[in-house]
Amino acid sequence: MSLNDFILLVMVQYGLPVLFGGVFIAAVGVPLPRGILLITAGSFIALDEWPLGGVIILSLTAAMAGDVMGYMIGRWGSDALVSRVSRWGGGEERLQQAEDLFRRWGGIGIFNSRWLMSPIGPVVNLTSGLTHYPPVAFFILSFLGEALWVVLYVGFGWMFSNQIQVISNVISNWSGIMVGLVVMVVLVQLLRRFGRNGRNATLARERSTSTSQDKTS
Amino acid sequence: MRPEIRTGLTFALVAVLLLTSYFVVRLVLDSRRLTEGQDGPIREWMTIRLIAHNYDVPPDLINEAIGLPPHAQDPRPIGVIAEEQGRDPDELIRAITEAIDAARPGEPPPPAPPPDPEEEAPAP
Repeated sequence: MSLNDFILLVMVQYGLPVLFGGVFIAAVGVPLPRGILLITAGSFIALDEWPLGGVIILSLTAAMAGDVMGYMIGRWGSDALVSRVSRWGGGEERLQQAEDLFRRWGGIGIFNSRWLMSPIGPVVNLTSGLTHYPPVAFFILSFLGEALWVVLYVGFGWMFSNQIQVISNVISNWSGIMVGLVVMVVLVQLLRRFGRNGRNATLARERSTSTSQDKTS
Repeated sequence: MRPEIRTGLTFALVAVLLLTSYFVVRLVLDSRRLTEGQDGPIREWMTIRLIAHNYDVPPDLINEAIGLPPHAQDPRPIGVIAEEQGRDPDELIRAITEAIDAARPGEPPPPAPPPDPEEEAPAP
């Protein structure tokens, strides 16, 4: 039995508490298939076996609790973690740059990583805390994104209640494509930026060499 | 930028491009299955009502196939029912698949469950 099948078996057997726990743990960052949990819950709503209100409220609460915990770990986590990430990322100056960048673009990232690119949600939570993204804005954007995620996924499960395995695959492939596109954009940007820096460094080297040659002659 | 970093980033870009293309191919194939009304094989976590709903057959057909009394509205997954009956879950799934297949002669039968890699692995 695969891990997905095992988790679904436990959820179907024990119901909403397992749905709550699964969504919470996945939002904190443990790689669990939280999308398929909600889609399956949607199909059980269609069969009148699970209550719509209960599923929506519990899933949203669990997802928000996980997001806030991830943010808190990033923000108030150990200094060792922050300094290690900071050192790994290029020092305090780079961390400051990341903070500025995240303040400017983080809102879109936080909102979209809740529903459109949910696999990167836990990383965004941690980064939001690490870069001291304003907590109220984080909470509101997370809430809006998670609410959209819960409604969409439960809705898909309800609509395609007789094809939940195929619809789960379609959605996870879609998420994979979105994450892949974002990572590709980031990598291209890095290559372009470093390429520019490299050219500038070469130009500066050439200039300083020609200046020193002029002085000697 | 140091050449090794550039090479690493280029390799990462190619790897992500390939992975994303793989997801695109899978998305196309799964979307086709979705529009054709297909679903995956019967799984241990499914309940009798869910299977009946998936394959558009009465729940009593499945009750009968796995030896439960008619009108027994058992909400448990079939894996748990199999455990209680002391049977192998695959045996239960086979019985259900055959019953659905017999009840819907014109329709394609439910897909067979994928083989368990643990069972296929050669003995050390």
